[in-house]
Amino acid sequence: MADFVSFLSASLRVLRDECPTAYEMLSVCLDGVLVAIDVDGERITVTGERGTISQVRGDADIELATHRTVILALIDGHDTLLGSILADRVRLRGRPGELVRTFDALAAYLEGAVRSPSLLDLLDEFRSSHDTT
Amino acid sequence: MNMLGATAASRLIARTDHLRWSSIRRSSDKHKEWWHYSISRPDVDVLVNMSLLENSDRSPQARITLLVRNGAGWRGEVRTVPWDRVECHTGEIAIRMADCTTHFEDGAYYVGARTSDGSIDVDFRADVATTPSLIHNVDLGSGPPLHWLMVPRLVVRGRVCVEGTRISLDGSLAYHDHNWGRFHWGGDFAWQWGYAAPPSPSIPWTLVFVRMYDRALHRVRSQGIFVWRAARQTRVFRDSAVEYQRSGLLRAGSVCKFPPIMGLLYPGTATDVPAALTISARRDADEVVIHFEPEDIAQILVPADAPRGATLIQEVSGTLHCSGRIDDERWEFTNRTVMEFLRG
Repeated sequence: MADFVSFLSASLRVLRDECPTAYEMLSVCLDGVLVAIDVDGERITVTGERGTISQVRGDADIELATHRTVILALIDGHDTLLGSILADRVRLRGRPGELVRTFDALAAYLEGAVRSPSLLDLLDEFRSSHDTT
Repeated sequence: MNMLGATAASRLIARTDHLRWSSIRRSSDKHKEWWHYSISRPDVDVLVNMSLLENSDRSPQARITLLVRNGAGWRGEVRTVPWDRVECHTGEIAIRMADCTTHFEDGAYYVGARTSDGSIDVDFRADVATTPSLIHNVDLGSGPPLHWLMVPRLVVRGRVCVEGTRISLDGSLAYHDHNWGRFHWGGDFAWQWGYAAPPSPSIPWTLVFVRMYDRALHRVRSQGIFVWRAARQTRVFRDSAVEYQRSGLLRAGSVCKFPPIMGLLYPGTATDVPAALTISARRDADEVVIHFEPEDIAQILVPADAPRGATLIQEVSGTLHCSGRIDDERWEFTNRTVMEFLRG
């Protein structure tokens, strides 16, 4: 696995299987909200729909752009989310209400991730593919 | 401890400190169990914890915590070990998690642990110097209780390497305990416990102190100070005989969070650790006073057994001054220690 889109898709499948409560909460938070995520030029747009996270096309309500190195720095505790946003290492654009729901969705995703044993393996693969590229 | 005492303590440990974890029964009873070792010296604190628990899908999970505090603050790792790299058997005092091991043999615990990147590596033998103390049914509020076996004084031979710097642990005193129970992280409980070991094995006194609360820290459920002189537990002060006095709040410039990813969910440096804590106890002519001044905090965040939330375990390194009078014998010492502040 070399790309962010593959990692995100696989992680959502793991979340659905190993922590369905978090997956459902994630879907509720993103119900009717299209979030476009751009990591080093790879782009994916997701939304919540009837208890499922789906990849969709269309004009996004929330635009999030960052780099793989920033994601790894956040996971490893070398950066904070607030600090990275204020320094434009994570760029966010959207209406306030939908930004709040996006943050709630991120919290749901992380609460599920730390309870999903297989997700740690995915993260190791994502990290090592970065180390070799 | 003389040979007779060592043999008796060794037999007691063999009968009590064994693994309760069952590889046969799998249920949703949330069994948790861990072995914990702590060494505190002026130049370094070392914590090793090897835990077994059940995931929400009832699959088993093993977790290693290896933390070291030196002049650069806390560093280390909390990592999950794949179950196929775990070797443990009910009734034994031995466990292997990947390349980290502990076992008990001939009156001593043997511990070897290292971080996954190899930056921290510890190996030591800890010879038992006190009789163990076993406390069953520690009240955690509603739900099953916790069980606690402690061996508060062991004499260490070994070393720790931190980023290439080797530190001898020879002659240090260590603390060991073993906890188990069927309870939920995130439940209605909190605790604060610590131990006082002298800077030299020539000083015979060792103490363990604990206070159990509800999760909101509004209600004290139990408290106690346990005192050993040499190998034997000589006094226990409980409940109304014990007084706690907190002052201020520790304003930490930075707080290390483990594992780091939990810092995304629970950021910030706010903590309820006091700037100073004095615990005193008196009964008849006997008294003890423990004064603890916290310095550095390592926050271990364990996902709650509920879908959201975390149990906060704060390992706080600091300076401890301990004094007392037991059976007309007065004593005092100053040393470093690591005190644990946990909120369920």
